[in-house]
Amino acid sequence: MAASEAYDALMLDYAAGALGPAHALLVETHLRLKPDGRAAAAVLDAAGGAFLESLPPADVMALPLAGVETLPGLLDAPEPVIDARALIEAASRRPDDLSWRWRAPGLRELRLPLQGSSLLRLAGGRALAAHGHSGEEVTLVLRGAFSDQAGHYEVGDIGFADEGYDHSPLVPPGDDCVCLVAMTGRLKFHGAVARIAARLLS
Amino acid sequence: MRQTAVPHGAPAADAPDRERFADLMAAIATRQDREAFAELFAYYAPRVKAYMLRLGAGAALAEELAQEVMITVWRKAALFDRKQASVSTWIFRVARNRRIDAARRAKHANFDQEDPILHPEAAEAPDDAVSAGQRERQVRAALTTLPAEQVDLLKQAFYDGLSHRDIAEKTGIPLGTVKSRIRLAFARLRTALGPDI
Repeated sequence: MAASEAYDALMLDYAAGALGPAHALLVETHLRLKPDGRAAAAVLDAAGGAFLESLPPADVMALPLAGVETLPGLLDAPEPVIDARALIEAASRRPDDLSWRWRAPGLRELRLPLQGSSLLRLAGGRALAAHGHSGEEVTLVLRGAFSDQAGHYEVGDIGFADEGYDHSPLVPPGDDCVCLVAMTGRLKFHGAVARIAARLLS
Repeated sequence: MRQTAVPHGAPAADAPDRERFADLMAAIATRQDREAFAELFAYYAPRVKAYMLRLGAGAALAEELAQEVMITVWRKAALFDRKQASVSTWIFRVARNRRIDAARRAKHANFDQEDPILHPEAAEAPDDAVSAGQRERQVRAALTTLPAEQVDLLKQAFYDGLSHRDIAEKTGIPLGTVKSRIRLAFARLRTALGPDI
C-alpha cells in the first residue's frame, strides 16, 4: 500500500528529526488530532531512545551545577513558533478570522511563514481543478473532508500526492474543507482556467 | 554480517537501569536533587553530544546543544512521566526537538506576532494505552530481530538525521525499496503497540 509506505516514511523522518519545518508542523498537528498517530510516534521515539543509549559517548565538559537552577530563561522559547494546537484552533474553529487569499474557483490560500507551508480552504461542494505536482505534496485535513481518486480524508487524515500524481480533490456539499499542506514543489494545473489559477499561484 | 542496534540477549554493560533513571528524574522534579542530575548528566550528556555530532553539528555547537538538552532535563524534569516513556526516549525527544526548533526559528524573520496561529505551546504527551515499560521492552526486542538492511536504515535515520529521500540518494538504493524497508521495520516495531491497534 503506497499510502501506508508514504505515511511510515513521513513518521520515521519526523522521529529522526529529518523533516523541514513545514512537514514537522504538519506531523505535530496530525499527532494532536490522531491518537493512533501518537501511539505510532511513541514507538518510533522509543526506538530513538534505544539508539541514543547505544551511541558511543563523546567527551563533554561538566555542567557547573552551582547556579543551574537560576539560569535565565534560556529555553523558554521567547520567539514565536507556529504551534500545532493554535493552528488547529484557528483553522478549524475560526477559519473566517483568518486572512485568506483567493487562488482559484473554490480555493483560498493562507501562506504560513514556513517555506512550502500553506493552509488551503476548499469550498464545500466544489471540486478543485485537476492538477499534478512537481514535487511531493502532503495534506492534513483540519476541518471538513475531501475525496480524491486515492481515497476519502477526514479531520486528522494525511493524503500524499507524489510527483506525477494527478488528482482533483472534491469537497462534499456543506462545510468548507481546511487543510494544512506541506509542499516540496509546485502545483501543475491542467486546462485553461487551471492554467490561470496556476499563474496566480506562482 | 548482521548488525544490530541493540545487543542480543543480556543487556550491554552500560545499559541504563530504566527504573533507577526514572527515579532520578523524580528526585530532580520533587527536590532539585543535584546528585541525581549529576548521575543522569554523566550518562546522557556524552550520548546527546555524540548524537549532535552525528547529526553534523560542529564540536562547539554539539557541546552547547548537549548542555542545553541537559539543562532542559533539569528544568523540565517534572514534565517527565514514567508511564509515558523511558528517560532515554524522553531525552531523545528533547534532543531531536532542539534541532527542529532551531531550524524553525531560523525561518521566521518577520511575521506578525499577533497572528492567532502563532502561540508557543508545550508539547502534548501521547495518551496511548500501552505502558511505557512494555513498549520500551518490546521495541528493543523487535530491534534485535530486524534484518541488517532495516537496522542500517534506522541507524541512518536516527544517528545521521537523514530523511528517507536522503538515505535513498546517499546509498543509491531506490526510493521505493527504502520505503518498503521502512514499512517492514515499522510493522515489526508496531508489534510493540499490542494486538489491539
